[in-house]
Amino acid sequence: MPKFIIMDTSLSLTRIKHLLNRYFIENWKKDLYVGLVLLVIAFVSNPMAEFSSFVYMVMVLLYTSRIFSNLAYKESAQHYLMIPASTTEKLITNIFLSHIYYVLLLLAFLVLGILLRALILAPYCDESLCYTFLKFKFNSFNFASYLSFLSFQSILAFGSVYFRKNAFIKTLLILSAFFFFLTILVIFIIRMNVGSMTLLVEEFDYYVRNPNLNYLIPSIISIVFTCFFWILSYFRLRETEV
Amino acid sequence: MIEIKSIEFAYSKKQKLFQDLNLSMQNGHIYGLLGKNGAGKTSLLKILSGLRFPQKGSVEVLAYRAEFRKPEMLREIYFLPEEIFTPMLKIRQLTNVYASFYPNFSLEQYNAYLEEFDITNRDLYINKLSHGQKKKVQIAYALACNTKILLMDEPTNGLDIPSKSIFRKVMASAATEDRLVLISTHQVRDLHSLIDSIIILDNGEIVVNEPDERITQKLCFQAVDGDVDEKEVLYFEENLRGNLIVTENKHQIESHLDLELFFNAVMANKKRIKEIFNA
Repeated sequence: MPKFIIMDTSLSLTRIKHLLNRYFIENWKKDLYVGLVLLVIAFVSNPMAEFSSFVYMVMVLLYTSRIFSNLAYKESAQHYLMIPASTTEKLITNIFLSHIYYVLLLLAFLVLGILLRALILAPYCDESLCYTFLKFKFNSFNFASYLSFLSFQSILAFGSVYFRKNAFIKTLLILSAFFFFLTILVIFIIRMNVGSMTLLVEEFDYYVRNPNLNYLIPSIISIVFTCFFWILSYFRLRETEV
Repeated sequence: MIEIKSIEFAYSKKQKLFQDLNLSMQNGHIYGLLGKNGAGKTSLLKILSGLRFPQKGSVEVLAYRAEFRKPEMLREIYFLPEEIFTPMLKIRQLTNVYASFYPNFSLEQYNAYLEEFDITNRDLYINKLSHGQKKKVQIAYALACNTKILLMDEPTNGLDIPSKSIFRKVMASAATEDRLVLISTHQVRDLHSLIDSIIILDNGEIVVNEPDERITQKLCFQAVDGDVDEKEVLYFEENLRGNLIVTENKHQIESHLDLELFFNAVMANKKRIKEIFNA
């Protein structure tokens, strides 16, 4: 018999646990398949290559697309909204999945793939090629880049509750359009300031020479961005009607 | 248990679906929600579930504001929509995943209802079942949750003839004194024996919200031969054996409620019937 939830609060860890349990039981096979693809890629390719980073990004996106299914259709949305858990609990569950669980899953399959490569290929090939795992540095997974990743995921999480049909594609398209216009804006600003370029170079130089600023400012922006989209997601989910 | 006070609801600014709608429902009843297509039956069920928010007024379900969708309310209300969601789970897994959200869920009842509906293999995936079988699983699950409020939108759609009779049987066994069941349906003949109170929705207002006994106290349903005095009858329908008529029950004649006839009578003579019930 299942254990009953008796807490009358809007934030119950037991309910979050049950929401996660629901996700794992319904999605473990799909997560495993995506993971196996990742494992194969990690096995056959150099994990430090740029191509691999691109593939890992695609894999994280594939994983994250899962949270978009909750509100994708009228029937699933009705079902999801009627699950006896609060908006906060549903949001925390989504945040946990998209911000932590998918990253851990990705890392687990990635490391497994590299390990297998090292173990299986060792007798047959050049040592430097086989033992990529030993050379694999986790520099690319530093905290600042993880925070940037979180802000990206928080935008996706917001997209998953903001849009209905084709929410994942719509969110990606809007993100692409946003970054495209941002790039154009930056180019435009640089061109406009081409006369006073020296000042810009000096500012850039100051920024690069100051490692604290280099680390701190993007991290703060990422945290603010992430929190902002979490709050937006909360209100959007709370106001969602089907 | 359910208290709707002066709600206003519209999908577009031009056309309001409900305006100043009031409704009160108590536990221990099986209400039948009847109305023409587009009358707003499904919308009303969604408003009660907190899936739609009224623009004005308040909806209280078990003393909770429905639109807040508090878990304390949601665990005591189950909404079975017409188009059901089918998770990619086996029949037996459904309880592992969702039952823990409902404090009064009974696994024994779930299994018993599935047996009644002749679903014996619990290892089948729900999403691979036929529409009727999916519906049976969902009905069994909805009843086993033992929520205080059960809202059903066209529950018999997609069920075969024997299943409809099983549905009536299991519903009758699941009706308790502390439970409120609201069934929205067009299939009045399927649920006639089950429903004990009738709510008729038309043009955004509740025209009738009465128990069966009061309807037969106020109105008389008869089959007559020969011509009908149109001044006396509220509504009549010709059939092979003569005429089916609805008249005001001035002489306290005992008659059997014909739901379909009653609904048609209300649609044809709304004002007069409202006067009779309000007298």
